[in-house]
Amino acid sequence: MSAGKLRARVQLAVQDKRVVDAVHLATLRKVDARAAGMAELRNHEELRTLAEQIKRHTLEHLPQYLEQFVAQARAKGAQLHFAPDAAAARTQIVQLARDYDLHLAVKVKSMTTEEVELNAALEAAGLRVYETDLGEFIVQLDHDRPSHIVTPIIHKDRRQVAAAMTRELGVEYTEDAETLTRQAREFLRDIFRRCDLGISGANFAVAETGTLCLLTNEGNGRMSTTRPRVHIALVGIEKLIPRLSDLAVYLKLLSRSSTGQPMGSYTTMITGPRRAGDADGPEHLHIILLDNGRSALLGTSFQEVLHCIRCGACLNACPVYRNIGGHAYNSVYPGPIGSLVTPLLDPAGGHHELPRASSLCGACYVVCPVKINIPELLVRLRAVHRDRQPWSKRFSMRAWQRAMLSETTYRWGQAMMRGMLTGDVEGWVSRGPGAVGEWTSNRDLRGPAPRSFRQCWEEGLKDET
Amino acid sequence: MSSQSSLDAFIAGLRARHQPPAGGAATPLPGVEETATIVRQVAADDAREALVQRFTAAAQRAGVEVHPVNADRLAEEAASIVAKLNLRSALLVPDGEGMLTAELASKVEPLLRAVGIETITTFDDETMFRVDAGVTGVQAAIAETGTLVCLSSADSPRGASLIPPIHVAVVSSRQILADLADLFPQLLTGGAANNTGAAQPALPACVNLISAPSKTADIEGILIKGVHGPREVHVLLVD
Repeated sequence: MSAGKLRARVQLAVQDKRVVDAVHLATLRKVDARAAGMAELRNHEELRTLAEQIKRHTLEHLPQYLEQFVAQARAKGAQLHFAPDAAAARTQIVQLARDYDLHLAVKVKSMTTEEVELNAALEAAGLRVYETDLGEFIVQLDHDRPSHIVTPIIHKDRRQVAAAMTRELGVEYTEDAETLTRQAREFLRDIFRRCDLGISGANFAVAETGTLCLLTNEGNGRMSTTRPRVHIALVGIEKLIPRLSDLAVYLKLLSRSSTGQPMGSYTTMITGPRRAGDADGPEHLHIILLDNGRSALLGTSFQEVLHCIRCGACLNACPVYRNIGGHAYNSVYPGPIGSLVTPLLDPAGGHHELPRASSLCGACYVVCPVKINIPELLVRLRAVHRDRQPWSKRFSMRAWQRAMLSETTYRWGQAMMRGMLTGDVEGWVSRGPGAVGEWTSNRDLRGPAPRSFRQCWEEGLKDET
Repeated sequence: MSSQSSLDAFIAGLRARHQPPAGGAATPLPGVEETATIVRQVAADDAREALVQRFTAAAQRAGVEVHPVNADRLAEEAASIVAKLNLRSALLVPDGEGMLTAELASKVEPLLRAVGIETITTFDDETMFRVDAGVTGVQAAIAETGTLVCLSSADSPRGASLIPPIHVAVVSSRQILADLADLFPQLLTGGAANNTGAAQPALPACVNLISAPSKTADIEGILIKGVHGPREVHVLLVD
């Protein structure tokens, strides 16, 4: 795993001006929308604190809440399973598809199913699988990857969408967004009519009642969990919340944080498969609780990344994400939270550079509805992986540390800097030597003062005070 | 290992490895009442007129059309509003809980047929995917966010408010709860009596909170309605 792969991806990403502009525009719009949405709450800071507290409590007592959820969900007719890792999740879902003789699957947008790379496994097993969230559907048609956890095709323009639709569905070429949406609707409506398997994740899993809660705007979440005779939900163990009434806390924060809306179009609460006599709904509900690295974070200083409710606010707020887009992160979860979650859930996956994709400005922490201290955790995670930094950097950081701890070397260092960093007539250094050169490659540095504070102090300042 | 035993084993293992922090270090769970107090944005005792206004404003802002209807002339006004929606067919789903009772449906049907709208009350697949509108009652509404609450049941298919491109919901102003915080106690216990005086059932297989027409902004951030769910939602709000 050589250092510099992230740098190479970033350099590639910033060259695509069209994508950078699109991401700029979209994220800034959402930043404003979020601010307006949160301002409408009379007490949004209090709600954030409460949201954080409930998640923290739940994780501290996770075994108890998992047990309660499992018992309740089973009592309502759901079948419960456990997947320790991605491979197990894929195997179990493929097996269920075979057990029930299923052939046509529809998927609601679900980060867990992307995390375990489910689609390829189902297709290899002979099923046809369709993403139904419009953005994910287009990603699938175009053999692309999503670049944002809430709005997957933030990086595409309508021409690319039109090209993918015409090529894969054979529909008439149009760049009109309304018509493109209608084409997708008609195609997927036919699939919804005929599908026999629906696969989703869940935004929340309520221990008290065994309920899964899904938030969507398009209606594909409802279609996918109503039409087919089997519904499989792949749910991360961190999605647990204690009580049905706790949903209110998160429902008031999630849509506002994500898009600024007070509520999304549809909030769907599913408790078991259809009841006897129900007019519609799936006959079978299978809930697979997914670990895949989550339980290893419990009891560690990284536990709070499990608070995440996947709102995407941190992506929208992040100046780095805004300028490089989602693909440069090369992970299912991009942006600030992705820079934590991906290396933490998959420590051997080569994602150790991601925590460095940050200026630690803290904008993510300010907007996070569950108050995950992302900047602090990024710094901690950098320390965990410090042995993977290049030799030259480790050496220079060690040298700096020694210099700072000794007064003599500190003074020498100061004098040397004064000699090397000669500024222009106004005192700005626009080109520095060595490592400083990296800093000055796109910023000017304020040059050192002609005399240091210590010198002034010794030469008379201390007598004046 | 069966799925049940591997899940049980996992939870047992977690339990052994992770004790909750002792005493003062543990994070308490705020009580239901305390949580509801923090969550609440709209006071529970707001006068009905204020709740109606709040509901109407919030719903309209989200793209839902709200039509006030006089209770004494319910069938006629309902039929008249539906007739203006440019429909050729409508699925009527009377259920025992909401405002769209069998009685109301039977009064509305001939009025709609008289203006050339085909009315259907059976909900097979073919019908659901063919009709222009689904007309339903609701179990409750929420003033804070202009939200409709629909519960699944024998008489109330989930698809009626989802599959046809237009959803018409008949809502009584008495069904409007102030805040989302007021919904959950009701869902858990079966809560307050509805219009017909029958107690509402506790948590069914599916509860849908509907706050807007189906929408997306995935393509270049352009807002488009009617992706997979209805493009229009009309509330007939009965005083």
